[in-house]
Amino acid sequence: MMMCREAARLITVSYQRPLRWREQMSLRMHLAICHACRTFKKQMKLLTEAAQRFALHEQAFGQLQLADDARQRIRVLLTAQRGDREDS
Amino acid sequence: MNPDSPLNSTPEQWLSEHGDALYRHAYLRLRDRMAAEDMVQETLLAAMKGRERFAGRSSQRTWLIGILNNKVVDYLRKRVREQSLDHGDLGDDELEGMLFEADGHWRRPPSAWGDPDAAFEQKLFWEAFSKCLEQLPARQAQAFSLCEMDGVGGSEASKVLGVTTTNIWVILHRARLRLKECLEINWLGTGG
Repeated sequence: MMMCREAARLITVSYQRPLRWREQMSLRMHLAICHACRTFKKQMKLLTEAAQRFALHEQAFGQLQLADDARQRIRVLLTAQRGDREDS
Repeated sequence: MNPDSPLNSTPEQWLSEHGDALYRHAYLRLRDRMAAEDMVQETLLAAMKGRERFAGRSSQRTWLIGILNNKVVDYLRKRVREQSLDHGDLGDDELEGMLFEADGHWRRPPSAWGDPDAAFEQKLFWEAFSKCLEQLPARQAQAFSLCEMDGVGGSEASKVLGVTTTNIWVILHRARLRLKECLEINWLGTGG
């Protein structure tokens, strides 16, 4: 009989490749009797959708910022390179 | 002429307007501050050289992110040759031990997250998601962002990261388990 740890692996791997027939059957049997893994399966579905949405709107979330010293360094470099190009 | 064309603005302006966005995009995919800063720099330099090729069909931001994505993938390809395989997290073995009993049952049953659309309406959900993504170990973050956010296939991602496809599944499995745990704590205040 399949245990939850194995069922969880099959649930996540099903997002990467089609499950083999035997895997599908044993997962289905496990899910029929395991409420926790049915919940986990729903969580993974939500997580997958969230990742796709996040990729589209990632700029709206979080507070990561380019550090001032890096920004300054890059600015100097851009100005220098631009000068080179315009001189040449 | 497209008013959003990079021909109408200077690279210094791109840095001001898009610097944070580019950094954030790179950091989420590399989990390395210096590397992410380098990617921003390389992207803007490449954009400056290639500005005449801007097609004008996309926004300036999208154009820059496109260049950045190539830089990030190039970086990962080069970088993985120098990393040992369990750097980060093929060695993340204790994770499953934290979540499952020795006999394979959940230690604590996963909690119901409810309707996805309702979750996606919540600011708190996205704050937690963003935070949890930032906390993933490097390898897991790289694999998860490539496969689940950028739509790169598993076999392509395994080549970029220099691991077998079986390993990429293991890494993604662990990323998902970590995100699940982290969301239960930071979003729902359960777990831990």
